[in-house]
Amino acid sequence: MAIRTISPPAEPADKWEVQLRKGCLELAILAALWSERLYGLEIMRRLASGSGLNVPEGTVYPLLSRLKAEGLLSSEWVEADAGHPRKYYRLTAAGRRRVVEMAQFWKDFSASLDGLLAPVRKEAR
Amino acid sequence: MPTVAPSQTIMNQYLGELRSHLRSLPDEQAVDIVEEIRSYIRDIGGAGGEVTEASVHAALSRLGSASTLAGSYVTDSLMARAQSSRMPWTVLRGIYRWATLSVKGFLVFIVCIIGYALGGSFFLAALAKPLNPKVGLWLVDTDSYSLVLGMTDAWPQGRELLGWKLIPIGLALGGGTILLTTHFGLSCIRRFRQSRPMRQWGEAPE
Repeated sequence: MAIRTISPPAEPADKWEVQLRKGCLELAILAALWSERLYGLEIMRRLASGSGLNVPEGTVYPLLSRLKAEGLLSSEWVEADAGHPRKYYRLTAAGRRRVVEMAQFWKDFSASLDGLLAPVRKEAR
Repeated sequence: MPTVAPSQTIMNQYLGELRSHLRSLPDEQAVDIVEEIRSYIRDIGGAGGEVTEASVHAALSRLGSASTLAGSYVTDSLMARAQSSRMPWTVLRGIYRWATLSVKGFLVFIVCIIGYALGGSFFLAALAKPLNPKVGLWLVDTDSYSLVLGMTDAWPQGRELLGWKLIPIGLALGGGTILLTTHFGLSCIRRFRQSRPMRQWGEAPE
């Protein structure tokens, strides 16, 4: 399966896309951790394969640290088969509540925007 | 004598640099960050955690420079401390950090410095008035009129405007200005933190 990655645009002209992705990054990370604990590299791979967000490590690791500081994630060091320990993240109860709220908002917002976009899509065909 | 592989040397140099840039964070947090990045570099090395020079270079190029990476952690930590403590000093410290990163941060820092200096001056003048009645808000008539908050002796031609009312007015104005400045600083910090992931991503020009 080919994975289409969404890399940062070279020109600042696509500011709207930038802002949109900015808003989605936190939701994408929290959603990636919904069903299981993951370590940093796994989260980045999950984002790339699941949502096409190709986010650099220098962004993801500090953001994970922030989400943990905000109490949305917890972490634990686990001795892995790889021969070195890995830091796994999982959603806390507050994190689960937050991702449910965000997902609901996303669904409602996307549905209402779809209504507005319907005539545009029809015309563009 | 055992020799250290070049890949290990490069990795340890990077991690040592990262650790030194994280010195303003609590030790436990800084060590945790360094170990997580070490784990990532080993993961990039492949199965068994064997790192090679090529894999270390690949990992480091994705991580960016140690100072930039550490800066992201430190900035966010300072901002988080400012938001949780809501104290003028920590707010100013967080905004000072922001000021080193962008023009917008610098402007917010200047506004906050002026706000705190003004508020602090009124507050201190109100506190000093009972100790020294010469402290007051003076209208000084030299070449032109100017308002001076301080002691009278230097301006014999001045006229004090508030008298003992300086105490309640100074406390109210000083406290109010400090509160407003803190509120302004925190609201700027909140907006900065909300937009930060993308700025780190290198996409959002200010």
